[in-house]
Amino acid sequence: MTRLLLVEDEERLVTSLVDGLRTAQIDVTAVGTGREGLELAKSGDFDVMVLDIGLPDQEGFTVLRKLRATGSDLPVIILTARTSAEDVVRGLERGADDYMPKPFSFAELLARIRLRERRIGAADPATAVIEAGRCVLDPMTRTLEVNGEQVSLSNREFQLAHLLMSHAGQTVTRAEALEHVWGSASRDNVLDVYIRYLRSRMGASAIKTIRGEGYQFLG
Amino acid sequence: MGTRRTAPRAIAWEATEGVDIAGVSTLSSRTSALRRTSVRARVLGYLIALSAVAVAVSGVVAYGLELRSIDQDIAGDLTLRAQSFLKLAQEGDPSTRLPYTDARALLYAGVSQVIASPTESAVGHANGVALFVPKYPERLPLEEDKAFLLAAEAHPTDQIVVRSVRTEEALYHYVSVPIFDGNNNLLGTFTVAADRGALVSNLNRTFALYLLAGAVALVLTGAVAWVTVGRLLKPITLLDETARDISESDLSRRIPIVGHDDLARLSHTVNAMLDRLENAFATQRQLLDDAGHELRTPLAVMRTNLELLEPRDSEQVASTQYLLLDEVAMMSRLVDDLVILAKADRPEFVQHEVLDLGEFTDAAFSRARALGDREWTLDSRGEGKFEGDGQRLTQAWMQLVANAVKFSEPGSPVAVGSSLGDGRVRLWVKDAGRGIPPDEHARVIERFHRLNPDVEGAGLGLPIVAAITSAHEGHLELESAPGVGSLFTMVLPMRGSAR
Repeated sequence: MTRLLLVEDEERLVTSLVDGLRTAQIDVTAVGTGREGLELAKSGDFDVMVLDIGLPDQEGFTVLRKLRATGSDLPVIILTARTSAEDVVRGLERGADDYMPKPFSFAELLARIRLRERRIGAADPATAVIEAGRCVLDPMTRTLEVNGEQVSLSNREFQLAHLLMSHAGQTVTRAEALEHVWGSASRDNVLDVYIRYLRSRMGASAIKTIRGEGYQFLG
Repeated sequence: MGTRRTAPRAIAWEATEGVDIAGVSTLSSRTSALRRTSVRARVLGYLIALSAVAVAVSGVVAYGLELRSIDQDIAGDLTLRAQSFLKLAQEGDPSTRLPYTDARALLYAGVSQVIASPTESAVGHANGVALFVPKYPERLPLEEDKAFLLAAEAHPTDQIVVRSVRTEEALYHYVSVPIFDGNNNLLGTFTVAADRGALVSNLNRTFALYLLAGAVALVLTGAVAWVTVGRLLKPITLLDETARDISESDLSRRIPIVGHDDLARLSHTVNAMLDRLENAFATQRQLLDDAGHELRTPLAVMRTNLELLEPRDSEQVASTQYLLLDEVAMMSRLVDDLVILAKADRPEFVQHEVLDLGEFTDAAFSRARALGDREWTLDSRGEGKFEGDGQRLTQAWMQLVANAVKFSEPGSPVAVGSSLGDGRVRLWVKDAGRGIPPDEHARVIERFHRLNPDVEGAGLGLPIVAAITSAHEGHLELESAPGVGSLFTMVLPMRGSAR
């Protein structure tokens, strides 16, 4: 799982980003100040950093400069509401790897994070194409192919499909699925809605209900 | 010199108009070029007309004087000749001191002593026939003009009188001295005469030359003036070009100032205007930039949430809707505040009316109490009338109260008060909240500056209060220390001037 450090002070944005990135198999640690961000970034526990420029204690540019001064080559994607060419150049000159002006597209941010994490080398199992029975799942494009027919999936649909297909033939419990896709077991009824949707795409027989336990992907 | 000195003033006048045209509207360059050329042509026209009048007046006066002096010269000359002839007649031959006995001998001697010229001569004659003429070959040929000789003999008188006669040959001025015998018989006449016509035509030739020289001088003056006026107008061309360049490209350029004349002053004025323009544009751009920055964050929140929204998850749909409506409400507030700030520079921002400070304070205090659970006190209630925009001032005052509530604990004391004195109105709010560190005092009224990002708000509250107070030509005072609390005071002039 990709470990991402998010340095952003706007709490409402952090909430939605953490939620969205988690569904994309990215483990997010979020902090609201440049000082905390720099400390964590220096620890070397992260694969990629998403850094806001307008932080309350210091500018993101400063954090970036200090980080690069320590010799760290942690990929950094800058997030900012300032969109002038001057700001972009400033960011890139100080060692940013990428630049995302607000309001950015979440899908684009995700794609850029994927690009950075691939650049660091390790082939992530989360991005490998899974083939099971009549279904082919491509995590990069989030598309499902059933008998050669393409189906677009939402984040959570993809996550659920990914979980079931990567455990093809095994039983995935309801609790596991809820925890993995929604982050909590409390949304019990939602799971049924999503299973029903996937069955309508893959065929009713593709996912078998194991009564009292969970689901099993048959293909 | 007189025209030279007034010329730049006229030019400066034109320049002011020209710059207005170039700076404010975008009239075509041809129009302003036409205007500039016409200034040059006009100055030149005035100059040449004036010079021509000067040349003509001095010419006419000189001609008149010259003509008078010709007549006087002729009269003087002729009289002198006639007198010396009379002297000869009375005193006799200068060498022998013997009187002339013969009229012919007297005439001969008289004519001989006359120095003749092509315009003046003498003649001794009788019965229309010339007897003696001076021996100068270049003499005025009086002897050939019989009509003249007869005319000269026609009015014999013993006094020296300058007469004039026009014959077919010329216009003569002459003096005739008749010689009589004892029986009053005319023996002969001594006549000196000048050809006035010839003298006048000599003068005319001279004046023709004068006119030619005058015309050449006028042409030369015109040429020099054309170049000089062009050179004088050149800074205006430069001003015009620079001003046009500036309005087309960036506002940071300034007109180079050369010298200390009125054109330099004009350049100064234009540069000062550009300073103000650039400042206004920069402020506006900054406001837009800030606004864009502040609106992008809620937009990013909205976009991310919408992108991640799972339409099949009704619970998420509901919570996202709630969240986005909240964002929209926040953005609306932000837009309202920005509009207030953008309008704050305009004259109609405050509508002055006469307010009763006591009633105004009571109303504000009762509104303040509704804003939160605090230990509310009315510090002081000023008495008297003052001028101000009641709505805007209430808005500013309530903003200060809202800040006091926002940054203090429930149940803590918040005091509101007003006073009147020294021609000033003071409206204040005092809290016992977290306070502001001294190094932040100046920055709190900056747009979007927030001491604590966790507290809701875009950081436009105090800038709005400051904008409202300064629109009333007052100012905002702040006393604050961390942990002690803050005292914000709006200090306004009692009589709002008609801004």
